[in-house]
Amino acid sequence: MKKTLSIINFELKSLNRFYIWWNIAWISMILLIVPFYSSISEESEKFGELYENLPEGIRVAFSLDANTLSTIEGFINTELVELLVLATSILGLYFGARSIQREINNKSLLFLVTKPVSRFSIFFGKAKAVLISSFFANAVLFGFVYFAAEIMTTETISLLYVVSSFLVIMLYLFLYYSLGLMLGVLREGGSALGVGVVAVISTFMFNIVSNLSDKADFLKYLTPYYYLDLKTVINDNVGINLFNYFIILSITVTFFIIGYLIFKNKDIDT
Amino acid sequence: MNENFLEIKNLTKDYGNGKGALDVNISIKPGEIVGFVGPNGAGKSTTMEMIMSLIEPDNGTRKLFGENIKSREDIQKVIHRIGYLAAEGGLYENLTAMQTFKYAEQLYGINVNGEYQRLATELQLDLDKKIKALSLGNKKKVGIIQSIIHNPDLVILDEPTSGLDPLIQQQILKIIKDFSSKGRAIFLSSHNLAEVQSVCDRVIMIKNAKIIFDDKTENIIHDQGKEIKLINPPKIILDRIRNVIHDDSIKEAGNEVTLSVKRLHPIIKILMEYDFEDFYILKPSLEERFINMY
Repeated sequence: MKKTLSIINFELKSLNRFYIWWNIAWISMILLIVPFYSSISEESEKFGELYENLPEGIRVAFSLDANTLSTIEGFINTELVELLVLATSILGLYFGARSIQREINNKSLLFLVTKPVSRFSIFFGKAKAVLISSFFANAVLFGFVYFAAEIMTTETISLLYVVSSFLVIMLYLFLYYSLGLMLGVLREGGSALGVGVVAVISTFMFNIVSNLSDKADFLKYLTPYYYLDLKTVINDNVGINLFNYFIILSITVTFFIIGYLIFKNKDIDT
Repeated sequence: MNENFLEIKNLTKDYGNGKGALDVNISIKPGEIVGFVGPNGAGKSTTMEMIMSLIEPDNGTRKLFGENIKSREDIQKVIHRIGYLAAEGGLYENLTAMQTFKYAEQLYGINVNGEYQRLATELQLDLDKKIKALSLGNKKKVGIIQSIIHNPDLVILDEPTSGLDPLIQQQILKIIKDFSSKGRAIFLSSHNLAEVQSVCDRVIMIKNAKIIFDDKTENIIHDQGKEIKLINPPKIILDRIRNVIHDDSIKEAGNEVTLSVKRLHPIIKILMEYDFEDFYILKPSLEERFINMY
């Protein structure tokens, strides 16, 4: 247990450094965007007219709905969280891919695998560090979103929306982290990150394309962005269906298990 | 107590085309320093990595401290008794030397109370520099210290002195010798046969993935015979010598003639008869023994 803690501590040092800068960037963006909410929500009718002139396919594909700008949750979601979802997916993938594959490639993993620590501790110690670090970083970020909305606007932001967004971001991060880890141990000396980014972009595009025509509707089932859609929370003020959380969690756990089994049996030579 | 620390039998990892390690048998007793020599790609690192369970063998058995190692999980029972230095890598470039040793301490679950500081002082190693800022020689020093920080019974060193200048080589060899004097076993691979001769009790040679030689260093040198170098010897002396030893044992180069002999006495007798003093006897070395095998 102590040894796993040592691995977690070691990983946390570099993750925390990264997350400080990551949060500074996103908090700066929040500070820039939120003050515009009042004026944009007042002008939402004009945005509506502007959107009406665009082809329906474009409106549907990019979720250009003026009504969403008239509520603080919709505004935050459109201007910030949707971008954060994509960025977090790629970040999760990056953490996963660099975690083991990079250490195998630069041979630094030999330091750990020749010490009295099991491969289980190494694999899941690294994952726990990402979980802890991401949990606190995103808690700070969404805490800031909540208070920024409270202080900088005249509206009260839905706590359900803030908590759901936090959960969704954490799940996306871990889904793609587990994918990155699995690809990292699977691809001998190759770039797991490149393959993973293609997977993120593809699944993101599936979600957009599935909105464009009935024929492509089936694609939505192939993308996590369909299962964890925050518009349900914004429009209906109800949490995301628990079954949808379960589906994404199951896929994440499956990636973790496959990744671990490959890593456990992987030869690590010089 | 006389049980072998390491015993591998018919250990095989076949990468095809004579690469890997085929039917390797090695045993190492407590207190032994065993040198593992062979050309590049002969199978030294593969063998060591199989011992450490970094790669799993296709066939064969491994015993470490009496424990049968059948899988990666098994080596966890004894890995705290083993120190390992990889031929390259094995360190986190963004850590300082001090952080590396502290991390190793935590992973071994020990506190050596700054023993690494004593070693670092002895090796003139700056503990506060990041690994990526260290020279190759200093990285090797960090690697050696982290491999012995927990006082292991068996230390496996994959080319501990390769690419280092002679001064650092000597420093590292001193650390290895000092460490082995405490009754620990050391298994080290090297290309430097003079270095192996100076520190190892036993030498194992591997070529094309197979062990071709395993004997005590003193036996190898003793069996090898001796060399006498004559400077500009008169023809009459050479004619007499040709009556005593075979022509194949006589090598002429310029004004020097080198004689390879099992016994010195008959040759010395001839030289004394002619009062010839321009000769010297060469100390036999592993290099001469093995160079033709490489």
